[in-house]
Amino acid sequence: MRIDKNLFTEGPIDSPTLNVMGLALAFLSPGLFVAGLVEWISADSHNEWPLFASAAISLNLGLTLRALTEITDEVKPLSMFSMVAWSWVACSVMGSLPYLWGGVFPWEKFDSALFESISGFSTTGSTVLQDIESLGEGMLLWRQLTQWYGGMGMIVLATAVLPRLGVGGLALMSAEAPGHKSDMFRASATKTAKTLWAVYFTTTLVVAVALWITPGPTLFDAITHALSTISTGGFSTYNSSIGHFDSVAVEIIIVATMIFGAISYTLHYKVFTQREKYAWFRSSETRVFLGVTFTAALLITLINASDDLGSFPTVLRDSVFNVVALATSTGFGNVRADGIGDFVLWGASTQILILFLMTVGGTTGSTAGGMKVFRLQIGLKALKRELRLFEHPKGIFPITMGKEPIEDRIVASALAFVALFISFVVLGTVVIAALGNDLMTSASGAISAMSNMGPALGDAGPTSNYLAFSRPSRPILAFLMLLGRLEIYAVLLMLVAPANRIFTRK
Amino acid sequence: MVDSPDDEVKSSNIFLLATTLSLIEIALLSAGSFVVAVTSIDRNFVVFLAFALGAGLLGLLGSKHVERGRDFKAGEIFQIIAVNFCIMILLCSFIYLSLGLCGTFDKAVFESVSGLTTTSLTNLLPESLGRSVLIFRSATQWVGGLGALVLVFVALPAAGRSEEFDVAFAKSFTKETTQKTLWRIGKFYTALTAVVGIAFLIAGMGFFDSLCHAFSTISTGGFSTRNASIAGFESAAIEWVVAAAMIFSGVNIVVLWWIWKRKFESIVKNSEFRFYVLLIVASLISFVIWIRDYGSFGNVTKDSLFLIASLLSTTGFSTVSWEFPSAMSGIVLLLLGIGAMAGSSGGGYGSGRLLQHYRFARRELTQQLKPKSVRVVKISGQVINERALQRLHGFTAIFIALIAVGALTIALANPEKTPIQALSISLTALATAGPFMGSSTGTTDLDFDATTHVAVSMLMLIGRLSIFPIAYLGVALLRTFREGPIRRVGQMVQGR
Repeated sequence: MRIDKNLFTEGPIDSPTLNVMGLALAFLSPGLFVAGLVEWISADSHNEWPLFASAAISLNLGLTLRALTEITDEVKPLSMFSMVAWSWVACSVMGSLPYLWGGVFPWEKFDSALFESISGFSTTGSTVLQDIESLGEGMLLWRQLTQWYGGMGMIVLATAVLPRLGVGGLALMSAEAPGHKSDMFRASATKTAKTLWAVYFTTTLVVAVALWITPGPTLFDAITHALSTISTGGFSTYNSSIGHFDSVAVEIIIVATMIFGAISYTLHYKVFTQREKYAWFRSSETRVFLGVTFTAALLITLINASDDLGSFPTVLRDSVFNVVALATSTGFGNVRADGIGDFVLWGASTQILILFLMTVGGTTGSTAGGMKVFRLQIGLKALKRELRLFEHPKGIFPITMGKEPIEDRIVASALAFVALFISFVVLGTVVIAALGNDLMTSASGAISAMSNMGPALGDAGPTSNYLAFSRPSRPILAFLMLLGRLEIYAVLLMLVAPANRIFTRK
Repeated sequence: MVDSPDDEVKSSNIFLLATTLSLIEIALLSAGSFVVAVTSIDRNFVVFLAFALGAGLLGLLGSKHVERGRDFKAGEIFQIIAVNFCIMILLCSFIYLSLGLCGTFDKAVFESVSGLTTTSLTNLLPESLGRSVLIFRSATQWVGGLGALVLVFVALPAAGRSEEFDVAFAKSFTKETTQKTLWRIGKFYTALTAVVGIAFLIAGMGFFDSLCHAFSTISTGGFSTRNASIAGFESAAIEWVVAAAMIFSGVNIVVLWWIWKRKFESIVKNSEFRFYVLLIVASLISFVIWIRDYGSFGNVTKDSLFLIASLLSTTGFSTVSWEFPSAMSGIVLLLLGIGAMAGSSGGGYGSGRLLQHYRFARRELTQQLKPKSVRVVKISGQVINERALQRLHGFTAIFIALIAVGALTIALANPEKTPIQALSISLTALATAGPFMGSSTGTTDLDFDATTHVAVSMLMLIGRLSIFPIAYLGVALLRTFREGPIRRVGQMVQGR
């Protein structure tokens, strides 16, 4: 990976990890500062100094780290994994400071603060806050901003970092649309990131304005919800989440935004900057994603309607909203007194479908989590190839995306990812169950955390929160969130780089 | 496909052969049960006699028309086994219907599939059945287990899959010709059954019970002669012996063959065997810790070991009710899914495949660090080629898809079941294990409707035939259909 030379890439210590960590921390400071300002201006609570102080600390710490370290020209894969993972961890720790100083969580519950922060930066949206509405506006804004930052980080990760490591699967998309490779891969990581962030920022603004002009949400509501919707996060400023607004118009905007957020940003880039109107639908991954979501919405609506859960318009409204919220790994709740939004109460078959949707997640290069649709595609194609080999045992059937065959290496890497994903879900389930939750809650909690979803099934549904999990199992869930967010490999390898540094000194 | 008429002749031959085979098997089973029925003065002897004579005569008739000594292609062997299973199931269900044990056809099919696939899901109370029926049920499991072994040691190598790890070390067991290998499997399997039966006899079971249980243990079946399964004997000695026997039946019979041949070095070197033992030890420790407050150390160890043996070998005998605290139920489902060693009569995903998958994931992880390096996956010192790894992924994808579809179907048909129950039934059926989690011993009314019976039967059958033959059968049927009716219609349309 080539990195542009500037003032901050030269320093006494040769550590790309610390350097990038510094950059990430410095990035947090404007957000913290704005949140502080909002808290200062807002009428009811004045908890601004923790936010301002955190802003100052993150800026100082970030710039110091940058000044002290240097990045050599060629960054090795191992360092790349480690810098991504450690930056995420550093941001999560930094993000939990305002919660602790501001008294959102007492100091002895620092694990809860960290959980909330990790859940934010990984765009998961699981919360351990009993009463969200008791927080001041600035603190709430910061909570939403963590998700927005998480989404930003994810875009860089998915479009600039992981493809270079051969993990993310963007290489597949380039196989599908040959023009794409020349545009995106020639540009440096920084430039790609900047362009995509512009798209991200603009859509956030558009969504905020759209939410604001619909009757119901205030300006503050509109902005905060735009932040957590576009990042497919799922934090809300209300205890009853989207159900608070009880407005079909708001739900439609949010559904559209969630789908937008779960589609690859490289496609958005093509559509908006290169005026290729059909780029979205030319990608088979997007088509499969939309197809799966649509089919699931249809099926679940039908099953719920046949179970007589409510009148048909209500069933349709709540089924579609929840299916999209779960398929895009956003995880907003929409529980109204007259609705059927609490999917924990739905039938067993719908819950199995929901678990499946949660596992699959969004598409590559988006902010959504989960196993990603392209891996499902590869899995299905492996299955199909196996069946064709029954007929022609000696045949050679390369797996293709679009028209071009995919290298066996990429196929292997994708399938290994699926294997690791499933193993971690299973392990997580067993450990969480051992720590005292029932099997359904544990399994859905592990899946939800791994795919950065938010609500789980069982005891931790949309009307409940993650306090339903025992205290020791929450750090495990937080770890799973990180694992899922950073596509597993980065987290598993993050300790290797520092260990190498310590143990194999030249 | 130019020579389609030739193909048709062959396929009808295969069908005839498989039918004849099933008829003879059913005749033998019925004859055995007839003898038991007569000696125990049981009115069921009429049914068994009728079936023994009818099936026997038809079988003899058929055997005259079967071409012998011909070498079969891999696809044909798969088809023979699959068709054989299907016809056996049909005949067994007729027997169950004639005996008046099952009211409806779907129940009878379910019962016979459960027997032949070595599962032990049942609606029947064993103690209410005559001795002849009990031995018949156990014997169907024994035949099913034998079929599974033939599949692994005859059909897979013939399919050119001998480079696959699960049959790679089978070379020390299989012989040059199919007939000789079949003969050796038959003899060894019978010998193992005899050993297990004698062990049961010594542990204190009666002669008849020992015979029935030997049949259903060595085949990892799990049908018992008591309502409360092994708990019905109320004897610690029997429980220990049955647990040990189940662990043995979950082991690859090549490993057992090595014990017989005293090749202990090969056994120790075998990674899959070590992994199997590790699984047993690790889960034993965790179970014992989990239920340590429920009784004395000895009892807890005994119950845990029994449960683990029953789950991992996918036998399905039980000594305790299968309702567990949540963490344990997680491990129970896990063990159930993993299943026995490849090359045994047990079902499930296969501990060998799991080991291979783990090594593969580890390879991919280290590969991330040095993307340009070339690394291989090794099991028992043998390099697994990439082609076999691809097959493994195909298998895994099918396995997971089947569990999911099964669970969904079961949940749709039984809205009152929780998702976990639906999942556990689906997994149990696919692994051909035993009572599903949450069911307690002694309650036999599974309370399934027709849809569930059909879905569960399908899963059991696919699980037993380990997907491949079913796929072969599907492909063959599809081809026959494509080249038969569809082509004929096409010709008619084009000709006119």
